[in-house]
Amino acid sequence: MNIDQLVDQIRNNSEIMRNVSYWNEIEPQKAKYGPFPEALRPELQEVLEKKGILQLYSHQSQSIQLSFKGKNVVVVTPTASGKTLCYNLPVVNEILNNDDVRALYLFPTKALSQDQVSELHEMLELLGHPIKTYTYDGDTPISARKAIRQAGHIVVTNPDMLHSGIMPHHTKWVKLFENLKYVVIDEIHSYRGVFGSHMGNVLRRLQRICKFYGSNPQFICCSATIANPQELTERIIGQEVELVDKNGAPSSQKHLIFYNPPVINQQLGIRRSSLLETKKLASNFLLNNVQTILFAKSRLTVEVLVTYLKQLVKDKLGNSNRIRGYRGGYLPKQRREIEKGLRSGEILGVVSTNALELGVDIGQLQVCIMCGYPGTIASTWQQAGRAGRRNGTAIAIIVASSNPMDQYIIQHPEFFLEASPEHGLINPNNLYILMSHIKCAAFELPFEDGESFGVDGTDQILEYLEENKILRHVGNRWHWTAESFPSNAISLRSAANENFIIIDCTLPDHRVIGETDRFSAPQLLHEEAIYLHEGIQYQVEKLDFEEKKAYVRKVDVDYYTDANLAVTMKVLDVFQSSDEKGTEKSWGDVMVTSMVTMFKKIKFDTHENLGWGPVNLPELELQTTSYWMALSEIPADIASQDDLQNGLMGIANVLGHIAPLYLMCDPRDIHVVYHVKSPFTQKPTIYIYDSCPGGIGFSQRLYELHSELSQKSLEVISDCFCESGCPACVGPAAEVTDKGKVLAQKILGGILDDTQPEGQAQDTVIQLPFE
Amino acid sequence: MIPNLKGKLKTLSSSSPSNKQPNTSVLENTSRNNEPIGEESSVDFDGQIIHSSEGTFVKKRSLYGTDAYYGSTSLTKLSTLDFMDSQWWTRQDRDFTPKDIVFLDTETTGLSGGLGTYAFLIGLGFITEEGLVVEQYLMRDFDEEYPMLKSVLDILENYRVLVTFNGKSFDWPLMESRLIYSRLKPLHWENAHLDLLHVSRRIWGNCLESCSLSSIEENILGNVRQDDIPGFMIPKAYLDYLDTRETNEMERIIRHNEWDIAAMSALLLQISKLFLDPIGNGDASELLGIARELERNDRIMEAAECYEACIRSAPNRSLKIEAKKRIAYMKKRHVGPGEAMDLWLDLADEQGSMLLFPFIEMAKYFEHKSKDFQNALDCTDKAIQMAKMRKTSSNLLEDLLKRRRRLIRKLERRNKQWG
Repeated sequence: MNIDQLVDQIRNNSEIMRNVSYWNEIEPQKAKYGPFPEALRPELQEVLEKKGILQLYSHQSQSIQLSFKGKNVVVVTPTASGKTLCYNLPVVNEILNNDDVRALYLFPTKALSQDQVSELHEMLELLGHPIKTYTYDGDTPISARKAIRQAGHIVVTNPDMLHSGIMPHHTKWVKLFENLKYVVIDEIHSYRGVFGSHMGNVLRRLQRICKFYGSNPQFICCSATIANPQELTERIIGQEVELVDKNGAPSSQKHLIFYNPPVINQQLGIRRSSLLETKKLASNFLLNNVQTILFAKSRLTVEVLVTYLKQLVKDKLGNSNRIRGYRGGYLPKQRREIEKGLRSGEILGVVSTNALELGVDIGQLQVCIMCGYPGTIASTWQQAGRAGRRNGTAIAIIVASSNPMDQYIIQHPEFFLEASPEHGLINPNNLYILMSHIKCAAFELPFEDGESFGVDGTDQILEYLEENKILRHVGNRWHWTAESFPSNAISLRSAANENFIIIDCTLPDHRVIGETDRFSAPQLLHEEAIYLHEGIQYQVEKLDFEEKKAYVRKVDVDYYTDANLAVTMKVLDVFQSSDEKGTEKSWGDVMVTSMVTMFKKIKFDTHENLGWGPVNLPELELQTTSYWMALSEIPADIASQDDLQNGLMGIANVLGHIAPLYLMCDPRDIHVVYHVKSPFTQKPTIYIYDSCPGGIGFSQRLYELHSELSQKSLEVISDCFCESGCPACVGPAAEVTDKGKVLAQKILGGILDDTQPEGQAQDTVIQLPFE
Repeated sequence: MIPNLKGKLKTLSSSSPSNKQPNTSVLENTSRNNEPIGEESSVDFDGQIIHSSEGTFVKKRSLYGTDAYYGSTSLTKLSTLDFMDSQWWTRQDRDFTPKDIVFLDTETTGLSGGLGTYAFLIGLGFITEEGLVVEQYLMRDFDEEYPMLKSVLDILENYRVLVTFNGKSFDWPLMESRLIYSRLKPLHWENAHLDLLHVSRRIWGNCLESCSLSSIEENILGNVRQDDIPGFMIPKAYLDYLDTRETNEMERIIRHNEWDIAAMSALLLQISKLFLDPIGNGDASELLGIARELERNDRIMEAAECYEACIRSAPNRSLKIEAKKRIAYMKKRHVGPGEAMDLWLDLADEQGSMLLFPFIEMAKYFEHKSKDFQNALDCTDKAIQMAKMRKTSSNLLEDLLKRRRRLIRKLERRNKQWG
């Protein structure tokens, strides 16, 4: 069956259609065109014609004209709308005008930069003009580096390489920095949270170096659809930027289907597993040889799905290699191989985390199934965009899980289709991150007295660093005065740069199969944990916490493991606090101590609990920012301490799933804890804290969203079909008791009862560091 | 990270810029800011404080007179060093005289490079009529860098050949970096930079375990430094000096740098002596190194003489075999395969050495040149026998067995032809 037949088949299948809560047929869009900018050189126009591009889409035309006028631009476009021309044309045009001109392209990953370079090469070949474009990253041979430094017109790299391989040696790049006219930042929406906060600082450093060499580059940025592309870009580059967001590219017909697995136990509020439903839906496509991409939200789900689907194709085709997994823990070579297999069609199905959401070139797929709502509207469109990139019908299916966020979205498609409430949040002034980059910046060029690193209080940080003998103030400058090379110790991808590596000891030749960050290690790699990689199960035999190594061995068991985390929380400082009706909301610095205490073994398919084991690992301390709400008083109709506890647990469960809707973050980027009587507020309190050391701006945003959060939580609980609590709202009744749902509603009702509009609340500003 | 960071950051963030009350540590800083070197500004390390329009720095001059020694090496002949016909080993594009040379060695605030690494002490050496003059330029704090660099650059511009030890990958790139950062025009030495480390590796690489300057000093120049500061401790010692202004360790650093310059001059003397008359001045292992360098530069006759001299004077068999092997391969390549046969035979006869390659080479000769398949087969069989005993790599054995099969085929064919 072909794809159109499959669409009809689904439409006529009442078994499936019963669970489809919403079917959106997105009509094909006609292209809108704009004129070639006058400043565009005729030979470039000829090249475009040779490539079959006779007209520019309206957004391309607008963006290029703005670049020609010297403006910074951010172009917001969906997948496959020809965004690369928005930067390649102005850059190449300018180099043709003046051979000294240099440009720097930044892509979030190495894979993306390789793709873009090959595309650019193709264009330059047609042009027949010796414009030298080079990728400069960790894989660039030492022998080639000198030529790139001196002769590359366009240097393509990633922020990590810029940070530790280019800027600390800027004198070797004189030609580039003196003549830097354009900085291109693709996928700028991916610089959010920790990575984005680092990126903001990397660009502060870049502009500082450019200023030293007398250049003042313009920025051309591309972003996927988010609520605040302009604001995010401005925060990252520290300059004003023009927004281009009217997409002129055509698009193919697409079916967007919201699928909610059927309820199998009304009383417990249990739906069929989204994972099993995804498997079922995917099987139909795969067995019809329709190339399908599946997105899952966790590494674990990816691996479980790969296992299931490999089983499926193995039965029918006798070969399970047509199904592959793809996620961050895989080694680069393995990933390149999978990308290639997808482009050639050798691989029929791929199960990925959001790693394949970015513009890695994997060609045209026909169907995309998202196992669980991807978490943000932006991610959903990016993932759905993987199906039907150029022409033909495409299908994108969201299979809701039972968590409240998914259930909210699946039952309120208007929230998904009409609003874009997600903001890309960054906090370049996170003290840990800022401090790291001030060190790197001082290493690169001494700070002058009165110089600001884009933030008030720069001088105080410099003084602090001098007290710590890292800088030395002499004359009117602050000089680096340590032996070390600071950027090597600072990873842009995490606030704490201490990855654990995973070593397979099944064979006498041990090999590294993956890695994970320090804070995840106790949960994923405790001894006896089942670690899944490429659908293969490994058991952790030994976790060497000191050396940051986990030794694993292949096993074949019918369960996976899930670790429990015990958390204690201490408030260190309050930045803002205000009384709302029934509550006091605050945000500030906290210290969180976490420890994995035990793990459960959970059977595949039935997901029943098979037993547990203890975990003996050290506590991890995390200093971060948190938002919290303390109940002014216990509502009169809450009768006991137990009731209060169960009610709070219910609200915490809902908040943990609802808050990421507004933060454009992974649910794992925040944590929710509740105290029946908090040692700090002395009241019943719920905390939501950033998982990243130092915090990256979520807490302040949650503080602003306080009333809306409570309102939405109450809606979720009230709208839920379950009787007395289920995983989709307050959590299963087994956890929160059969009164849990009512209790949570009572508490929230107390908070929301004739709540004052947000604006009238009196803010007591205690202190706001570095804002 | 730094312990109690939280507390420190708190103090930091609690004082906003507007209401800042200078505390004691800030006061100290301020006083240091105004007068960077403060009361120590008179410290000159037995040199001279230079006041230029750009600022101050210290310059120290020392002389190693014509009667001076460095270790057991007399520096007398420095000024009469002859670099005629030396381009092949100095890799220079033209001949030069001793007075064209400037030696350079830097001491730095770090060993990993990058812009945060400063060259705080730059030692230069010049060969004059009086002997070796060592001039050291020292910044006593970061604000003395610019005037110091400027003076050094003014001097360097007068010289044609830069001589360093490991300067191609360390000292000069760092100097270049500092000059560009200071907006001074960096010099481009290109070929006119002679890195003695590279030359030393070619001569002594096969006999010294390490070609570090200290190893060469001990083993070649006959000098053991007393109370020398190890190089890896220098960055920390200087940073401590900035902090404490304690001069003891600085004096050791300055002496260390001066010794480095003197050692380089002695080394250059030693090396040019060797290249000028290898057989007269070199021992067996030096001769081997020089011969290889000669061979690499297509000076075949001279190379052959050095190999022969090495064979004559070799104190042990492995060196002798190595030289014979080299000369055999050289003859094979440059004169003709037959010329090497004596040497292969000779090497094959070496008692108990179990060398495979002479048999292989002879087999090749017999098979392809003299078409003496029987002899070729005998040699191959011997090599196979030895390869099996020595458990050599399977690839090699595989090749030998292949050769053997081929030779048998050829023999059979020939026997048929001859009826």
